[in-house]
Amino acid sequence: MRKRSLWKILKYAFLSFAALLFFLPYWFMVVISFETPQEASAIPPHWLPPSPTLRNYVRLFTQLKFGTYMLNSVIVTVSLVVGQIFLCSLCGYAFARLYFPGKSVLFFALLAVLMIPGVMLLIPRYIVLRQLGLTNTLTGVIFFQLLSVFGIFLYRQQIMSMPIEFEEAAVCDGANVIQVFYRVVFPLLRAVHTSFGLLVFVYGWNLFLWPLIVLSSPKKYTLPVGLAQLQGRYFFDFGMMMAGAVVATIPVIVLLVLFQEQIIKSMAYSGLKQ
Amino acid sequence: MSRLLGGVPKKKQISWFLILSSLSLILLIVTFYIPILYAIWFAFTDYDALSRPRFVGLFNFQKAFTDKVFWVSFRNTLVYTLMVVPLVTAISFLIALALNENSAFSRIMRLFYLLPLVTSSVAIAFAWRWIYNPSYGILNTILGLFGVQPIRWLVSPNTALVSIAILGIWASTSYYILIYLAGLQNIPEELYEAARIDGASGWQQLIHITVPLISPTTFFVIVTCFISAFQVFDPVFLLTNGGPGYSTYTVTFYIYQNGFVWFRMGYGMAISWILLGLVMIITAVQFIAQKRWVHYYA
Repeated sequence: MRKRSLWKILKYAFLSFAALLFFLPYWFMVVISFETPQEASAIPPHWLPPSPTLRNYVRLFTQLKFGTYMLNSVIVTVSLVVGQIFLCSLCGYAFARLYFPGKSVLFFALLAVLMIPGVMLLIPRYIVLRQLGLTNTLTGVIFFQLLSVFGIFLYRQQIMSMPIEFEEAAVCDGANVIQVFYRVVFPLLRAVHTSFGLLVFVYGWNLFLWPLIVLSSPKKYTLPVGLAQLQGRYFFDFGMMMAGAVVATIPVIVLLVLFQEQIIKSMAYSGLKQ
Repeated sequence: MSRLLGGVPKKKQISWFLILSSLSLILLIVTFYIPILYAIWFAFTDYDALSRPRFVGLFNFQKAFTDKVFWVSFRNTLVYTLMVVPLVTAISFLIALALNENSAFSRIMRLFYLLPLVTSSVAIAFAWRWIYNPSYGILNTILGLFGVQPIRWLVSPNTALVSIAILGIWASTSYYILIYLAGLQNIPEELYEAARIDGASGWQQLIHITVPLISPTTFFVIVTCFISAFQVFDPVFLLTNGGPGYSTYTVTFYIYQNGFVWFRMGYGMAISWILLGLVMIITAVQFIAQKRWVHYYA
């Protein structure tokens, strides 16, 4: 019995220590964001800001265009969440319930693109983007991220595991396929919309490399792209950099605290990071 | 197998299928298949983003094999991957094992472990830029308490790649903790009960039940962690920009440099194909090797 409780203490000590390693960078991120450059370079670093100031945050939104970056990020993220839920559920429904000759071949052609590393598509997608005249537009950022093969797969699986009788009853009552989808199936998928939507939100909010390539003028920058420019301009001003990092991190952390269970479930289910 | 929607004739189903999936299929072609065709074609050209591409045959591929920077990038990527994959696998397994209980403590702890998973790679890079700062960063401050001389983490060619790898381990462990937690839930509780009745100790249960039965998950973790580590880009781009010298050039960073800094897009795409080839070969080897150590519980 004593051996067992010793193990328990060891286990909790290990868990707390490791959790501290994950948490401390965030703690200092917040502390330094409230400090002046002099305070931020103190040796040893402060555990709490000695004289908290909002100077860095004020400068982010007045001297820099952080308001615009945030708005752009919201546009991109919301479009991706709404667009992907809409497209993936529609397409997933078609693959789950409707007849089409060569459907399985088509489905394979869809899943096959999951094997391609993201970097491979970078240069050729940029070329297509230029031909479509979408360089330096948010539309270009969104358009190339709108198709989620994982999402289609997820919705197809979920729809296939649902009873089909409600849909057939609606067909008997004279509804066409699109009415069946929107009146019967779409509302039943609410749990999937939530967990998939959360996943897309985190993905869209943090998307970095693609908008970095697409966007060239500061008034189009999304938050991660605008944030990355900070380290060029404020190389040694960690207060500014950390304040920017805090602004970019708060929305996703709020989501994580609110929807911890769903995020854990859908991330684990996804089995593939974007 | 689920069945098709009854009451709607086949012909109508075909047209409904096209209506519902058309947007997705158009996106599939425009944002995946056309770019892939371009990637094939331009890999054999000297495309520079401005003038018309000229067919150069296998020149880009031959060039890569004699290109010193490519080999350095490849070596760095390999070293990075070999540091990250084993450590991420081991650490995430241990943490998941300790977290795998339904208590309030465990639920609160999970929140801390998940933080890096939802944080922007740019914010993570900023935090670590400060942690690694040679004069006032926290890492040297802590090491200084033990009498270690300040280390120039990101600035010295000897430690830059290791620093990127430590960040990589920190940032990617969260995701694999989740995967392991999901895997651990799937091990039937009866097996542990039976083992306990037979008098097996906790350690024996771990070695003879948990480790073999979690091996499919371990295999998944190793394969996916390998694929993503092999494509590491964000921390390199944000923290060292490949430097000092070429000490943190990775293959993906070299592709980016070729494509978007030097506008050698044809060459960049040839390297992408080499990268894909390498990833596929190593993944195939892993799939063959798994037969020797992965146990599937039927």
